[in-house]
Amino acid sequence: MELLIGFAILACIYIILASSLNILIGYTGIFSMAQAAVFGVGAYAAALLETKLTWGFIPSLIGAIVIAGVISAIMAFPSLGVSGDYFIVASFGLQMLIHTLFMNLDGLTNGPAGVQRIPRPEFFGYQLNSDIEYLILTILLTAIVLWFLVGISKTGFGRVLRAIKEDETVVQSLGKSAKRSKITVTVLSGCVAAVAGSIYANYVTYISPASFTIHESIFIAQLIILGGLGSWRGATIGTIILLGLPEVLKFLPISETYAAPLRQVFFGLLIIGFMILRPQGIFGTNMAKKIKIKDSNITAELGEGEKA
Amino acid sequence: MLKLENVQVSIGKKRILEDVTMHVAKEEIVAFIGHNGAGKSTTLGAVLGTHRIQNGTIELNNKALTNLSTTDIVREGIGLVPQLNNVFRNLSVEENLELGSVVNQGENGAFTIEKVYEIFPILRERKKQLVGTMSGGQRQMVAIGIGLMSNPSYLLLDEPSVGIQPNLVDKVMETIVKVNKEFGISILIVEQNIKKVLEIADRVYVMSRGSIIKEFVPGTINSEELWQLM
Repeated sequence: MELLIGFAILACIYIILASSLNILIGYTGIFSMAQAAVFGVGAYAAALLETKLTWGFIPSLIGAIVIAGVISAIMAFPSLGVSGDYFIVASFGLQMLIHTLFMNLDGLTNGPAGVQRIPRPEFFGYQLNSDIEYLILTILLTAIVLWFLVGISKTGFGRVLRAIKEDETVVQSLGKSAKRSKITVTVLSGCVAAVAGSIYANYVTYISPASFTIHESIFIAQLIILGGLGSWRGATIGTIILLGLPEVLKFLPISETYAAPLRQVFFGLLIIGFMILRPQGIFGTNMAKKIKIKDSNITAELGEGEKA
Repeated sequence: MLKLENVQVSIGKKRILEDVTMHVAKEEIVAFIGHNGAGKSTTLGAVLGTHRIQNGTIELNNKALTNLSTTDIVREGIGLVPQLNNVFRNLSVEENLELGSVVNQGENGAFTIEKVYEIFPILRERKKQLVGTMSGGQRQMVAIGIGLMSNPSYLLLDEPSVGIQPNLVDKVMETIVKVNKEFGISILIVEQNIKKVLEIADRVYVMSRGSIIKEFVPGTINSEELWQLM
């Protein structure tokens, strides 16, 4: 039972993370490889505000959101000047830079040793010491984040993001500032990742740079690629599958020496398999195919066009 | 009035527009013709601010547009229907039209989706359909609708007949006249289908190698003379 609760808490944290990247990659087409770094900024900000300034959980959470938002804006201004593949490289560089800062800003982050003794949240004098209580808080925060993101994606701003993904130049010719929207969504994504960071720091009560490496960024990207880019259900299901698989594989009669590397092989094969058989992921829509099928019916539809 | 004076545009080291001087008066339909690569689309891009001009001025109702951003130029009342890739294929008809909407009351009052549906009733029937699944003609209707939703006083159309069936070209031209007459929107249209565009234009500019080489009123020159210019 304890194992299941722990899994559920981690799943919620990664669902928030996957969703924070989904609005960036899936909706806007900004492929960032720095999501683990922003996740780390949120985790460190919350941990340091709680341990060094003895702030409570909610003020620290808000502080982490603000700090990650500011850092994301600073990252967005120069790096969004480049697009496509160049942005992936730029974000990769930012990921490495921030990770290096976590490792070397000893006075602030305590270097490789990390931040320890992060307290569990306390509300009105009651501390959430049990995992089940913490799970309830995590589920509540995850629901709020998903409700917020799904809501945003249905607004005019969400429409602009999807339009940017298709053709940024046409968006600009309509008088919309694509750059402003891209900076806004990068900040929004950073703020959401900070929520995951804050929940993570308070759950594990100890954080170190090892949790926020480039491998973590790749893993977060895998979650939404598997689930389906641009799909909220996909981000959720992709997370549950990729987090759950290693747990399931533990029950196979393989010695631990081989199990860990085999898990990585299995992950790699799974992603390659999806790229070949279902590149749009589990819940993504293959628009190219859909449009091609419909195009064969277009000649018949033209008559109606003439009537208009 | 939309007025361009001695406009020069270079892309990289190559001069695309040499010295373009032209105007579009209020409620006028002006056609822009010339062979491929003459600089017609670049001129539209210069008006909308997507191409930076090196020399010259562009004014709308005596207000300089020259150094404004595209966003501000659209807000001043210039709308563009680009030549290709002018719709968002993964979005529905309604979402495409909503994207065109800009907070800009203009001279003609706000253009609404309802007004677009009045012009193109088929779009109302298909408002939830993904634009990528529609025919070329219907996509062009959506593109013109998006251009109108920015509530322009001046609408720039870049080859609206390209990529659609010949029997729908008349329909597109009729729509342009309707938009001009009923809503008082001035039109600057770039078109390769010279026969059709001469039927609707009040004035015509002929462009060659980045310069305007002739201005005339349809019916005042014969077809032989016109072909010599082209």
